[in-house]
Amino acid sequence: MRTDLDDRILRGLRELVDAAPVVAPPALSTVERPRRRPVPPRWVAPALAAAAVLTVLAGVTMPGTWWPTAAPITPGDPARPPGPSLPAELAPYSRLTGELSTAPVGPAIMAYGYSAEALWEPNQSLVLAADRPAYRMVDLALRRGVRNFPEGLLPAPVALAPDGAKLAVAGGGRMAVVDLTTGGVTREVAFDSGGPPPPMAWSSGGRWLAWGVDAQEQAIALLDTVTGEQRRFPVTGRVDSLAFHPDGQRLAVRVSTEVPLRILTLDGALERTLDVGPSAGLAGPGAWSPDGRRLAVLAATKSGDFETDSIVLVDAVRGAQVGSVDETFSTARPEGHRGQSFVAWASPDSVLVFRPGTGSIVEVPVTGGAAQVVTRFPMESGRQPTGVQVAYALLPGTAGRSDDTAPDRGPVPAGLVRLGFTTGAGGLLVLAAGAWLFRRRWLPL
Amino acid sequence: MEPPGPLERLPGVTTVTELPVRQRFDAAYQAQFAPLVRLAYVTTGSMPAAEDVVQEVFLAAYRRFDEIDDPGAYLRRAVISRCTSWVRRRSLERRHAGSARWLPTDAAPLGPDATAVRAALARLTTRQRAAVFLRYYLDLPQAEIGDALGCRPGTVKSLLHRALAVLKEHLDED
Repeated sequence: MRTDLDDRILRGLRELVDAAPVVAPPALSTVERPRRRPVPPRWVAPALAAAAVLTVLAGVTMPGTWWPTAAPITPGDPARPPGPSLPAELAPYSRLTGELSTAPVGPAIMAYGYSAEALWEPNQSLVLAADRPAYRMVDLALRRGVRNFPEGLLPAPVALAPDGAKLAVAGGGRMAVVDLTTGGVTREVAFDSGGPPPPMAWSSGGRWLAWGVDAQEQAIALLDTVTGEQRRFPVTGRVDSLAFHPDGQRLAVRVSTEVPLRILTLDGALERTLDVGPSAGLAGPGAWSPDGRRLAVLAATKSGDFETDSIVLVDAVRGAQVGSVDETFSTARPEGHRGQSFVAWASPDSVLVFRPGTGSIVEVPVTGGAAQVVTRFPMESGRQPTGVQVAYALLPGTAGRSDDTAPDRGPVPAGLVRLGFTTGAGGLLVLAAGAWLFRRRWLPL
Repeated sequence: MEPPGPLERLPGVTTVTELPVRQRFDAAYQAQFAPLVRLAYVTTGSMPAAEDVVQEVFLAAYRRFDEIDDPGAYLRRAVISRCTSWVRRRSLERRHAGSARWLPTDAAPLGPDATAVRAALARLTTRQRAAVFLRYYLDLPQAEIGDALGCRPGTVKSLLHRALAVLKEHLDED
């Protein structure tokens, strides 16, 4: 709607402009003939196209070469800080975590997984270096994982050796032993991975690996990771859990169809049985105390419609209960589900337990006393730590470290590099094509 | 009645589907020269500069006229762009040579509104002046003003709002 002001502006502007008359010449005299815009040399377009293709190929075929990869840590490396340690807080979930096979970090103090709820966030299998806050994804576990709906890709189960030097990966029809110093597989044997995740256990020195077989036969399998020798002992039921004695010469085994624990020698001979009560299983592969005197077991008790688990300590000779861990795992779960809160013996008189509710790993004295938080996971919505394992042979004397050091996540995973290259190159091609088309239609001076 | 024979093409007759480039250019020149000079005049404050700018714009446009879809919009954009550069160069020269007058010295006496508008325009930026001319003299919608200035309609609104505040100040003084 026109106002008085508008009218006055228009009047004034017209008078002002018309005061200087404009006379156009009859025709523009041009001395130049219309000519086409200069055409770029013929080699430019093919050269640009070739450059784009080479860029995409480089991203697809040379993963990790655009970022420096960490050299394997060797014993005696002067840059290596003394002694193992755990951070006060573990690093949060990140997709930008490098791969163990291409950027190894040496012995690990922890192995664990992340279960992510969001569809666009993959589940993860990770290790944490023993001497610094360096994290790597166990890419072998991802490659040999199983796709499931709705969980997505479930990484293959792993077992960390007590000395942190090796990692067993059970998947893809093979049981592989990964050397954490080089990131490479040193031993591999056939393994029927069609069933649920098998229980796995390492001897304290990291020489023997034992696991339960539940396929065409049910048995206990043993692998000497030094010589490659394999042994197999049939059992009458599914192997529920197993744990090596600290001397590495005996195994405690729980078979699903039997109540007592079996104590076997490495030749498969039954040394004795140990009655620890009904519905109990070994608390984990590190259930045997460092002095061999006690075993940590999960004693299930029914409460209404649910079973609750509590960590009970039994005499390794008589089987009698000699104590319980103050930090009981009292999450009520439907019958058949058991918790995984026991982590390892921190010392002959204390155990480590994982509290999923707070994300903390806590050291609990078995003789009484206050529990202390050793480390914790950041509490992130939709991401849950799973399968927490600690290299318990490294624990005595482990010092906590301050959390003011940014985590070393290593080079970006090769898959993300390829995705970035392809997306970036594709985007540039689209932009270039769009700009070319746009300039053909409109050209500002 | 005999059935029509096959279609014959008569020699010397050309079916015209599009005017030759030169004819389109000449038509645009005749239609746009004066308004563009006035636009440049209001923007630069100098008639000789306005004529020079518009001549240069037409010469440059002639070289690629067959690729231009909307000559009016294209020419307005080009004129404003060159005027902006001219004003910038002039500002630098003025710092050394002293200020120059906004209008030719032999301009005829103006009425009160024109005098107020002239004084207000002298206080505006190049883009504000161009926006005022396109809005009031050519009565263009905001979208076309934005196209000529190379900015969004929201920016046009802002330019006009500030320009109007200055214009109002000068017009209210009368």
